[in-house]
This record gives sequence, C-alpha cells and structure tokens, in this order.
Amino acid sequence: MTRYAALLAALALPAPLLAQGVLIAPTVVFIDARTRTASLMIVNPNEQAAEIEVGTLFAYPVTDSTGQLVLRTVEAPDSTLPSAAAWVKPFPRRMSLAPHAQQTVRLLVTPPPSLADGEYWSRIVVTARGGQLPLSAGADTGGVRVGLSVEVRTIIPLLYRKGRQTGGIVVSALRAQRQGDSLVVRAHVERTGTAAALGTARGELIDSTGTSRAVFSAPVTAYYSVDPRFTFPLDSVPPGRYRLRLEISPGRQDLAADAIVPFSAVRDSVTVLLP
Amino acid sequence: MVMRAVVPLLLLLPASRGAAQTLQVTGIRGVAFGPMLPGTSAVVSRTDGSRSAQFDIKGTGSGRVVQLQFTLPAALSGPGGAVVPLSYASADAGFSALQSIASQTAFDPRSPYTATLATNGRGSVFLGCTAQPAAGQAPGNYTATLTLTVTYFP
Repeated sequence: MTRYAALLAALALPAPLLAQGVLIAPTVVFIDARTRTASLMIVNPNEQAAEIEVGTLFAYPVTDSTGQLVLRTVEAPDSTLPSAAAWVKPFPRRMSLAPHAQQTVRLLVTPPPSLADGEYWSRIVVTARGGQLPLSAGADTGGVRVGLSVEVRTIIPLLYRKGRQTGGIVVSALRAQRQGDSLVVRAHVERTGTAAALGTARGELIDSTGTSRAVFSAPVTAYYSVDPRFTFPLDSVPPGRYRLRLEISPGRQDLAADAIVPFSAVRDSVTVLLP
Repeated sequence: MVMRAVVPLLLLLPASRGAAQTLQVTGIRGVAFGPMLPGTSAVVSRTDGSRSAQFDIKGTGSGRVVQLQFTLPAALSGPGGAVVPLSYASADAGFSALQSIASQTAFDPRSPYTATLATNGRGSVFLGCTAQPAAGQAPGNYTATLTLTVTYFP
C-alpha cells in the first residue's frame, strides 16, 4: 500500500473515543470566614479512568455588547479586585479516578489576617483528561494512524464571605425592541451591596386592558454591573401599545435560599409599541 | 479517599437544594474524518450524526446558563513534525438544548458562546471541522487534543 493510500485508509476510520468527563457537585461553592473550608465532590461516571486536575483562577461574569454573559478572566488580579483565587487550596489538586469512582476535594481558604469584611471571588477549574486513546490503525501494517483526544474543563464559582454582607441592585436604561417574532429587552443592572447579586428577572407585557399578554423569567447575576438581554416570544401578541414591567428579585431556582444575600426587589417599566 | 459505586447515591440527592446541584460534562466522541485524498480537504459537518464531535452537558435544575468555549487544535501532529492542518468556520459549532443533532443553533467555535440549558438541565454541543492533508502527507500517527470549557454562571 502506498503512503498516500495508507493515509487515506487511516483517516477513513472513525476517531475512537470513549466517553470522557466528570460530574461535579455542588456547582457553586460558598465559604464562610468562620469555617474557611468546603468540599467538592468529583465523580467519574464513565467506563474509562480519568486524570483530574483542580485549580483556581480569578474571573467574574460580565455582559458583552449583545447582552450575553461572558466570563472576564484576570490573570494577575491586583489588590483592588476581590480575588480569593490565591488563597484557595484544593486537596488533592491532582488525582486519577477509576471508572465509577468519586473523590472528595477539600477546599481550604487561607486569607490574609487583615482581610476586610466583604465578599471575595474565585473560580474553581476542574480539568478532566481521559487515558491514552487507541489510535485507528490503517489496513496495512505501515501504521499510518490518527486519533483525537478530548479534554473537558468545567469552571464553577466560589464565593468567600467575611463578616455581614449587604445586598442591593439598581436597574436603569430599561428598553425593548421587537426583533422578528420576539421582544428583546435590555436593562442596566448595577450591584450596590457588598455581595454579588444573585437574582431572577421577571418580565410581563401588559396590554391596555391590564391583561398580561406575555411573560418571561430568567436568572440575573451582577458581580459589578451587567447589561443583560432578555427575550420572549410574541407569537400570540398582536400589534399595539403595551407596558413592559420588569422586576428583579433575590433568589434563584438553582441556588439554596440561605446562600443568597438578600436584597430589595426592584421594578421598572417602559412603554412598548409593537408594529 | 476514593470510593466506588456511589454515583447513584449522589444522583439521588434532592435537586432543589443548592448543595445538591450537579454539573456533568462528557465528551461523547471526537471528530471522525471520512475518506480523504491527499491534497484534498475533508469536511466534517456539525450536523453529521456519526462524524461530528459531541459533548453532552447534564445539570440539575432549569434555566442554567453556561458559557461554552473551545480550545481548538490547529493541526493533527504526526511523525517528524508532520502535521495535517485543521480549520474551523464560523458555523462549525452547534448547541442543542434538546440534545438533538437535527435541532442546533450554530455558533463560531473560535469565540465563547453563551447557552441556556433545557428545563431538564441538559444540552449537547457539536463540532465539525476541515482537515487539509498535503499532497505529500507523510504516513504515521496523527493526534490532537480538543478541549471544551464549560463555565457555569450562577
């Protein structure tokens, strides 16, 4: 078989891959200064051993120009940023997990002794690599082979709280615009408390009779400020003049209530003309 | 401490409490290149159910927002420094909250993408790409690593 034919034969074979990845619990880590420790459970649910590495970095969510949440990572946070990344030590940091095995990773926080009260942030990075993948062999013994490994990285937040926290947000610049068969709502949300605001936005489109014609609900996260984008369908909403009401309140479906620093719900509204 | 066969116990934890929330990201398969001729590009579409790369995300709870970001290999590396270049187009990645390859929202794999998981906490990510073997491509083992980073926004 010529070298070209061997390459052709090898590349024609499917890239072999056993499922790789891990399960992580919880998905948000809250640590109080009185305990300075928490646990993370990592499970390998697959039939292949996994090499796991746990690390930290400083990052927080912001919104881009379209209103999408993106993670802003700061490689070397200075003293003006509330970074806990350097204080969080995972034990163990590296491990090999057999198929269907799980491991508890202890997270220990050792902050500076003079740390001021407040909320400090980090992200936990769990990287899972599978074992050496078998390569697809060509039909000949020349051994032209190809393989594609997969690495999965999961990033979850860690919030370290010292002292009593206060919550609060302000909402401004509420506006809405029809785009196709949807109403796109934008607003500026700014945190005013000492803790990141973890809330839920609920929107309602009210017609001239006071009847609710469309609703939406979406999580809102403000570490500093965000300009989120909410969308809800207008399938059954005829053209006309409406009032859009927006409320952002503390609490989230995916977080325990006692983990959230409460804040007063805020409301705003704006007139919307649907052509 | 490593324990075995406790996954079912973890999955039985109530989903309504924050402490019991879980997130699982699994690489199901890599990109499988089909027949190709030296000097001729081979394209794998993200909608190809057997050859596109697939990652499954499984969380508890609904309305979860995650950021998806690929670290894409520029080439498959082979013997003696030989490479097979890989390229990615602006619609080569797709996200499906229904976990259906037939129902994807396309996105650019070269940029971060924010996705909302389905009400059952699930979603799938698909990736296609193009391999460009040279006319004189050397035989040997060609390998690369594809990384998907999933960031959970609480």
